[in-house]
Amino acid sequence: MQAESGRLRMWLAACCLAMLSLSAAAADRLGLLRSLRPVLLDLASPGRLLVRSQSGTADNRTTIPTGLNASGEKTLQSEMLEQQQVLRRLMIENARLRRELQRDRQRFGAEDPQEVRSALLQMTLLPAQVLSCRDGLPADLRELLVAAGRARGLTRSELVVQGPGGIVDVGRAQSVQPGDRVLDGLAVVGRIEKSARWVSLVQPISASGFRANVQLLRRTTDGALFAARGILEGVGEPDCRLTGIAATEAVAVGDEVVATDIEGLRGPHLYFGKVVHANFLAGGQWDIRVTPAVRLDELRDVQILHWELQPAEQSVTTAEPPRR
Amino acid sequence: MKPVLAAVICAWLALMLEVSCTDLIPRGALFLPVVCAVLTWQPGVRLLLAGGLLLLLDWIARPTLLPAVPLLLPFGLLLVVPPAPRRQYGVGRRLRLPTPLQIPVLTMAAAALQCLAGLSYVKLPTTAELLLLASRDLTPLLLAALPVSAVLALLLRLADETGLRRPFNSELQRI
Repeated sequence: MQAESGRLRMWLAACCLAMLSLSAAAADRLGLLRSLRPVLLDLASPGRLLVRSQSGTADNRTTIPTGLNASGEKTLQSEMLEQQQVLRRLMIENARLRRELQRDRQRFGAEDPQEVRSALLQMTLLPAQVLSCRDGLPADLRELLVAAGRARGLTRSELVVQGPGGIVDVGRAQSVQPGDRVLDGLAVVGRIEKSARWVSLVQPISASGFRANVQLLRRTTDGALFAARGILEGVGEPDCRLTGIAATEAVAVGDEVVATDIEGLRGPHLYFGKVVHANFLAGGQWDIRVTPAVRLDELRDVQILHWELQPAEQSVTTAEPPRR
Repeated sequence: MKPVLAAVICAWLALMLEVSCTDLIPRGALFLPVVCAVLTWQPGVRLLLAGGLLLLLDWIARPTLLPAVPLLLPFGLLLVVPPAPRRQYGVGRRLRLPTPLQIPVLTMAAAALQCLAGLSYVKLPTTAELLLLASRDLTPLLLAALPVSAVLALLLRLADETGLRRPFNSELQRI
């Protein structure tokens, strides 16, 4: 009899859990759990950071002895190390001089306030690992959690981009060779919606409430041409909507959509997607749909565009031994 | 209260390892076997609620479409675990599943539920989509989760032999 009552209590507990799960699903559908999600993953983050730091230490331990085992090549290695240090010093010096030259150019040549702001700030890319991703659902439920938060200086509304870029419209005809550096062409995944201490929640570009200033980029026989400017809006559907395009502007299916600015500052033309539907309505307005360039479920690592103040100028110093 | 605290710590450690190695360990490969072991350690209301809440918190932290695992796995436990202590290792008619198989079977069910919960509900999945799901998501998850669950089942058996684990503790006291 006692065993039966215990069994009954377990069935009741299972039913309570089922009710709780359904309530949580309803709350999630209403967006009530979005703020709780980064907090929960933050709780696991101290251990995660510890594991990662330990794995990094283990890697270092495995690499150091392999270098020391070759005792006959010690002299050669020390010479190489010295050369590398000299080379590194020269590269640092070169980069510093180049930065100073660029800064002086901006300081004395810039009249636009935006350029002055740009001169004060520099853009950095913070790599981050994707912790949790929910794709293949209605766009309102799509989410992405990345392993970077306030501890790394992230704030709300910073853009999240995918590391590998898209396809560029130049080739061997323009003397492009394998190994050439490609600076622009980062595809935008979304924007930081909420940042906890060690993790951040990303708002994908198709989610409701996402907005960005964009510009159309058209490929012609003469090369790529920048066309009309507008506002890209997420509407909670797989495709985004492009608004603010004047009726007199020309829009065509296949036009690329790139960013005009990054948080009001001039930066690289980040890639958003491609126009898949452009219909001129009877009222004299464009109905333009843009498909995002990035699928969330393909992402493993992302990068976050982060503005920070330019480092203070340092005077030229040489390492001199202290005089006694 | 001690088993509940230990369960929370074990689940947190499993979650931490999974989150720190997302490229190596599929989602749920450690967490699901650990929670299944928690549920079968001492089948009772406390650990059932603790395990279910841990599954629910994991779903909130790393969501799929529906919380299918915390919704259905407790019922699966009740179907798998025998209702009385004397039938646990016996071969009576009411025995549903041998004890060493409980954790692997529960893990398989949880993994299948987790993969199914990730499907889109916009349209019913076709056979090809289900096969793709099985090959792309379920197989890697089971390849990692089943060995873990087997090790945990062996540890539970070892705990039985050494007297660390007392399933159906209250009933045994009454007997």
